[in-house]
Amino acid sequence: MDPVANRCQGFSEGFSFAQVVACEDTLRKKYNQYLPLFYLEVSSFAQPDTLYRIYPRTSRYALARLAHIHGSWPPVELYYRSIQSLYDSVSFLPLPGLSSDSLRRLRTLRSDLLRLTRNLASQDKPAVITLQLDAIRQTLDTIPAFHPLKSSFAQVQSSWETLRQPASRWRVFVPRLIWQGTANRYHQWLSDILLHGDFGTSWTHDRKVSERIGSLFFYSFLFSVISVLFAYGLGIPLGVMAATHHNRPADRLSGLIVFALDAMPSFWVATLLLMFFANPDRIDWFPSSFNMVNPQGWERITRFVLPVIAYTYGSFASVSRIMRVSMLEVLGQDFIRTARAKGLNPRRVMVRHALRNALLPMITGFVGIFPAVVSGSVILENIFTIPGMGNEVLMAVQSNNIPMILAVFTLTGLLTVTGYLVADILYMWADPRINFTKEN
Amino acid sequence: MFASVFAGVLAHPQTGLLVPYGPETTLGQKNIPPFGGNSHYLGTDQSGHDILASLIHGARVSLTVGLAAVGLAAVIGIVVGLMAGYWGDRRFRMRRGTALSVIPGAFFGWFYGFRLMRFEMMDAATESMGAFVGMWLQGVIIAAIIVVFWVWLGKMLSRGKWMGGIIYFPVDSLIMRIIEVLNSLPLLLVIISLSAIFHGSLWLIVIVIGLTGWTGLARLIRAETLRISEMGYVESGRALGLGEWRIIFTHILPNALPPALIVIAFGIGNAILAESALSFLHLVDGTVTWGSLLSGTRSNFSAWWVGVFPGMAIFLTVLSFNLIGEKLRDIFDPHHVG
Repeated sequence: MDPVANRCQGFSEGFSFAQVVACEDTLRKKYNQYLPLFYLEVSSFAQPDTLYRIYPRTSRYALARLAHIHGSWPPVELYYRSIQSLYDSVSFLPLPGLSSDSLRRLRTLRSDLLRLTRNLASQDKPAVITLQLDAIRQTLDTIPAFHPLKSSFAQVQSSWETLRQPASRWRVFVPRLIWQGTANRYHQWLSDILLHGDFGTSWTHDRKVSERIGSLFFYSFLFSVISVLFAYGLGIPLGVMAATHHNRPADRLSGLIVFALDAMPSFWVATLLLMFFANPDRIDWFPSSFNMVNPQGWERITRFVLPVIAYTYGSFASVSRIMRVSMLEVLGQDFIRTARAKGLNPRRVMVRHALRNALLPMITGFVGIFPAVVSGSVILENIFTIPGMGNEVLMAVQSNNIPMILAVFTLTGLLTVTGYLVADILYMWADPRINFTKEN
Repeated sequence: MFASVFAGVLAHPQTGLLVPYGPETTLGQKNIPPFGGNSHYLGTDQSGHDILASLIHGARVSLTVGLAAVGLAAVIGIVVGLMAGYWGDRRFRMRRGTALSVIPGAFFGWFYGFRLMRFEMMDAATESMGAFVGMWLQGVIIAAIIVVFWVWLGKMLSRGKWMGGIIYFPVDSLIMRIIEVLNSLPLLLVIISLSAIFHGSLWLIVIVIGLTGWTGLARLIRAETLRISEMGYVESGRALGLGEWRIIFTHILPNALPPALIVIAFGIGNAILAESALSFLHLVDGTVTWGSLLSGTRSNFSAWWVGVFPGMAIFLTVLSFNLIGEKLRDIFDPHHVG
């Protein structure tokens, strides 16, 4: 799950351990991973103040735990170093000139030994460690070619024996606050954003996160806008119609449909649409994936149809519900009765007096599209393979690509707040009765 | 409709009452269409699982997740909303000495109750949910003891002149800011990220949905509490010298609760939707759920029954809870138009 380790994994075949380490090292330096997380760190006197430099994280956890059990760090460090030097001597062990068959066997044994040694650094249960040490010792004893490794192994064993002796554990119980200064990852991240507008570099490929977002932004934006247009364009008339036919069959029927649409999970609807309308065995009107290499003719348009339906129907339902309620509320008010009583044209009453007031609550929903643009619709983009933000976020989450996740969260939060502000301004513009300057 | 779901829970395959297969039983016959006159009433999927058995199992999972998550959210939302509404910004006051000593108290409480125990807690979490909750409660108790000790120390400290000054703790503003921050996050993304980072088991999903889904309820309870606090009977309770907690829990809470039930009913539907969305994306480990069953159809569009029935189950369940919410609204909120 560590993207850096994943990227350097390819090196491990045909490359030495040192090369893999060097690869991880350069990447981690580049991504500031050797820096502490935050300005302030809470630790205990049993832990070192530079624990964050140890990778992989499983080793870091195991070593911290050993220090926790033992009560002090230096013996743990000694143990860790002895494992590392054993690893080095295993991987650089000169294999004697043998016939190719036994040489191959020896190579397998050596890579087994390497795996065991690497695994040892990530173990934190004393019983498991003892077992693994026994396994390594047996290999060393039985294979004569491995005898030169015995001295480094003896060091591992002796340092482990030291660790087994319980030291005084008082250090574990004394909290320690460590001030890390401004050379920490949070400070770097924040100052990069504030000073340069830079959201960092993606950990899974060496591209700038902001560039990546820029290139993926388009389709998320497109679908948000289309779905909002359709939802409002169809939902508002339906809501008005339901309100004007209050409690009559038309209202009942539309209420029932809207209520049912509201409860349908979008991923179900999307799957069914694909299953029944993009399936060569049934009706094959639409392409089953939005992301086509080279759309031809009609496909350029038909590929939009199913996604737009899946995007729209949910918000359409809620828009028409809100519109109906808001319209009913306005219609029950005195000024509508007055307008009717003075004999105004009923159409005019509806449009000029009722609709204008009833549209106000719709503003809130309208600004909701801003944040939706950045985070996209994870599920729908996944189902229709739309190359947008939602899909990217899902991939980032699954591969632990932290800079991308942080960028999306930050931008979404920012746009939500902007959306609230825009909504307030729109309200003030649309309804002169609202005045934010006065404290009520 | 709703009764049928509960009937489904009762007829869980382990009891063998209705379907003789477990949800994980792999049968030899794959992709059997439904209603074929055999004992696979709703057919089997591409790996040979009986759909009906999986559906019944999924009903149990979905309802458990929905009820547990919303239960957690309801507890948080109600407590937080009551606190914000009752104390406001000018009601929660303490002596300066106490306030100052709460800070180290909270730090040491956290350190000895949780930070020191973090390895043991990790072990307990991998072992079982019960063990983790036990460890967690132990941490809470240790932390509470330490905080109480520091508060007592602070009371001593407050005898001094400057230390004895009264300061107000802006409970309401603080809680409202937290709610605003939570509301500005894309919730589904938060849930997806957390469950991917911590390799979502079902209980983790419950906790994540519970911890993120309380804001609407808290706002509602806060508004209700603000309204009720102005009522005559609260005033008279205060005049009679009733304790704060007694007023909050026996006079304000029962009156604020009915409208909250509406939000809770809709919340259960939403939690079930969120859970099935997560399992649809394969972010939930382990058991068969409606969402995971539905996602199986994406590799094989010809088996329509694999796609239709689980989705229908989600749809009907969410619809039932929405209907309950709607009925509750009719009862408790007669002024609501519609």
